[in-house]
Parts: sequence; C-alpha cells; structure tokens
Amino acid sequence: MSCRRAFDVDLADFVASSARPEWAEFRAHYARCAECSAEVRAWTELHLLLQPPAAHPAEELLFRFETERDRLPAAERRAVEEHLARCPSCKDELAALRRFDFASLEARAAASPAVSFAAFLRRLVLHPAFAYAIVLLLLYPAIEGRFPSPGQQAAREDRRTVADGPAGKSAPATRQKAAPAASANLARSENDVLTRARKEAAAPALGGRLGTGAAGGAEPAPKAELADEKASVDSEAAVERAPRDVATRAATPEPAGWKALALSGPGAPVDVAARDLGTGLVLTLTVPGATRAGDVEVRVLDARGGREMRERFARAAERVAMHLPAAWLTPGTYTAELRRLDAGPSSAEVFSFRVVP
Amino acid sequence: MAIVRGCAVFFIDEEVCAPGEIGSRARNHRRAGVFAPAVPSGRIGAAVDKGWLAVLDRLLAGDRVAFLEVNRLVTGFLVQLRAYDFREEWDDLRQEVLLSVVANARAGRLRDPKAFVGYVRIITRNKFIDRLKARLRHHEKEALPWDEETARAVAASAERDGRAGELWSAVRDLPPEEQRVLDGVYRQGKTYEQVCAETGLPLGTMKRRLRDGLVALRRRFAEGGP
Repeated sequence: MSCRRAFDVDLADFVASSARPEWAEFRAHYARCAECSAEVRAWTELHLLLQPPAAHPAEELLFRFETERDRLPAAERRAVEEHLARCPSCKDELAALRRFDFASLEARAAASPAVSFAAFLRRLVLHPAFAYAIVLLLLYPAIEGRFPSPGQQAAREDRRTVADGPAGKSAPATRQKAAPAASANLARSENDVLTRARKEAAAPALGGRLGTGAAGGAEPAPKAELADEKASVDSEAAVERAPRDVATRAATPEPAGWKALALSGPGAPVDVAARDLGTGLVLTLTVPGATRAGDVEVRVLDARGGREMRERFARAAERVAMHLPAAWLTPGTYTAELRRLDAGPSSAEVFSFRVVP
Repeated sequence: MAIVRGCAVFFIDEEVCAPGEIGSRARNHRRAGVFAPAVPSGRIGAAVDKGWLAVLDRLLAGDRVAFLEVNRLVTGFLVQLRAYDFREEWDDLRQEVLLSVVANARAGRLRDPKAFVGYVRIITRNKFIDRLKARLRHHEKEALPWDEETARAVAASAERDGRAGELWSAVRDLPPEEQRVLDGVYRQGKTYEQVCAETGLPLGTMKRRLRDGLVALRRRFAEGGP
C-alpha cells in the first residue's frame, strides 16, 4: 500500500527546516519509504533551484580569519564574524578544517606509488649508476683496444689505414673526443628534465598543468616534486641575489650539490625529498617589506624540538638565503622563523618545509 | 497532488532552527523564515567552471585553502543529498570524501577537469549512502528508496545546473501576489516580516500565497517542468 505521509505533511516547510525537532519522525521515515523519498527529492530540487547564489566569504578569507585573525583589517574581521554568526554552512566548513586529519593526507602522500615520467627520468639521470654507465661507455674503446677480438683488430687495422695514424693512439683519441660530447649529452639531459619540470611547474600558476598533461596524454608529475623544481628554478637567481652576512658565514659552499628551496610566505609546509638534498639545502626566505634593510635572524627549528640552527643577516634585502647541511636535515617538519633584530621585539615570519624520506 | 497543511508551521524562531540548519543561508535579521535555504545550488553551478585541477594540486600539497574550496563543493552536494538530515554522519563523511578524492587524484584518475565536479558529486553520494545504510542497518540486497532517489538526483543535477532561470520563468505564470511573495522570499532573501511589510499582506495570507505558489511549481515540476 502506498504511503501518503509525504502528501499529508508540509513538505515545503520540511525541505527548508528539516532539522527542527518536530520533523525527527519524518526524517527517520522518508529514507526508507519510496513514495516519501520521491516527494522529498522533488521538493528539495525545487527548493534548491529557487535559491539565489548566496554571498559567503571567499575560502582564502575564511582561512585567514582562522589562522591570522588579528592581522585582518578590523572591518573585514568583523564582517566575517558577523557572517559566521548567522551562517551555519561556513561555520561547519571551518570546523571541518579544524577537525580534518591532515596527517592522514600526508601518510597517503608518502605511500603513493605514482611516479611521473619526468620524475623517473630525473632520478635516472641523477642516479650514480647512470654516471658509472657513462664512464664505462667512454672507457669502452680503451677496453676494446686492450682486449681486441680478431674481427675488431681487423676493423681497427682498416681504420688505422684510413686515418693514417700511429697505432695505439686511436683509442685515447676517441676517448678525448667522446668525453666532452658525452658530458654535453649529460648536461642536455639534465637541462631537458629541468626545462620539462619548469614547464610543468609553471602551468599550475595558470591553472592548467594537469589539463595540459591530460590532453597530451602525459602523466602529471606529483605536485611536491614540481613544487621543488619550481622553487629550485625560482631560487636559483634568488640565492645569488640574496645578501649574505660574511661575518656570520664561515664559508660560502659551492652551489653545486645544494638543493635550493625558496619560501615566499607562511603556508602549508613545502616538501623536499631527502634524496634530492645532496650536500644540503639552500633555504631562501622572502623578507617582509617592513623588515628589509634591517638586521634579521633566521632560526630553523626541528618541529620535534631539540635542534635548531640560527643565522644572522645584516641589512637584509628582498631575500635571505641560509645553508642547511643535509646531515642536519633528518626527515621531518621544520619551521624557519625570520625575525628583525634591530627594531625591538617583533613577531616572526614563520615559514615551514618538510624533508620527506 | 500535494496537500499542504496550514500556515502555523511556516514561522519559527531562529533560535529553534539554527543549531541544526547546516545548509541554511545567512540572514540579516534575528528571525528567519523557514525557507532560509540550504547551501544554494548556485554555489555548485558556479563551482563547475572553477580550475579544479589546480585546486586539487594545491590540496595534494597540503594547502588548507584548497581544502576549504573542495570542502565547500562537498558541502553543496551534501545539501543536495539532504545529508544534513543525518547530521551525526557529517564529520567523518567529509573526511572520507576528501581522502577518497585525494587518493584518486594521486592515482592519476582525476585528470579531466570537466569530470572533477561530477566525480566529487558521485563519490559524495556513494559515501553518504554507505553510511546511511550502515546507520539504518539496511541490508545490501534490499533497495533503500533514498539511495535510488539520490541516484536520480545526481544523474539529473548536472542537467539542471543553470536551469533556475527556467523555473523563474514558470514563476511568471503564477498569480502576481504569489510571484511577489516568491520573489521576496527566495530571490531577494527577505524575511517574512519584510515581505509582509512590503506587500502589505497579513502574515498568514503571505504564507498561504507562498505555499500555493510552491505547490503550483511543484506540480509543474512533477509534470516534467524545469
């Protein structure tokens, strides 16, 4: 027998305010009842279609309200407070942000097996075995010359005749010519990878990297690695531009082998793969406008506590760069606090990054 | 067709409804009409054109703002599914949906930007229904009517996005008094008191016209309207 309850109750009222206690019984009923379910769905659709788009604070503003409320202009802060006081949806979204287990997001990230072609190629090119293989390839003519087969010997004899060169010099000559060529090839390969990563990393800023990847059938590179590459690209120049306090830095390490990471502002930690660190990390921080031209201190702290590194920079310009040895950077989360020294107590700019295994 | 009962239930205090009205729209006045809407469908319609894959990239990098953006999209779908009728399910449900989106993104299954919103819509429905069935101790083999209706809603919602204009065209066929009330309450988001003050109608009459207008629209809707 068909149920008539949906036709006997005021569904227009129900769809608009079903949370009220007087609707508890119908709430428990309709999901199991075919007739009432159909009516509730139709009324819900009508109700939603009639509604105008509502004005809610932008997500970024909500986030700033949550994390740096005191820094918001008073009027903006008041407007968000008033909105939250009467908007359960936004209030609930903020509550969800507080409750969300971002650690589970990170755990899944660490467990993710997906590796892009670009990342694979980069790993391959930078792997020591690749260098050994190239060395072996370059030495092959010499080895071949030392242990010639009869056929090779005959061929070599032919070449000698053509080249009219002295015996025993062909192998070294080949090696001398091949070495720079192989070196150039290697450099090109690295360059290609970097160029590719640059292209892929630049696209998110335009909002279309994955779309381009999908259209072209290419595998999208994981974000963290692209972010690293982009940071690397951005910071190459920044590292050079950043003024260094020669009094506090014993020696400037060679740029080669140092991983560059540029952080422009507080936000979610940026991941750096431990395997990419090489000699260490060149951490470049953007100095806030009000702090520039003053003396600043950068304090890098291990989030687990107990370890920290400090460095002072005189007359800080747009950016400061701090070198962190790879041996010191065990996997984990780090915060970098940038504080002005010569203007009394001041709040620190806090950046964060994470070294992942 | 639908028989709608008297007007008394149409007016409630905000204090009564506020705690549970997850989807309800913000209003500027102390007292709210019962038609304070859930998260509007316009929110989802506008979200379709967003660069979701870039947002997803940021989410994968742990960006909290990106989390809020995807979360707002999920809110819209939860409202469509009336998940807020099962309030206690929301917290874990959101997390489950978000983690599922992230896992699929990492697995490279979310590369089509146009498919993203539809994917989130479907995954939200599936997770919600799984939880609802568990809550109602519903056996897998039995059909759950609300499961079937939400499947229809999900299938139809993509077609309906942006069709509010057609519904408002249908409103123009209603008697002028009903049009004014519907326009005031829904389109302009006014409280019942404001609509009464503007129209000069007593509260009971205003609510009866609102109800009659909605019933007429519902009838058209059932006949294959908008």
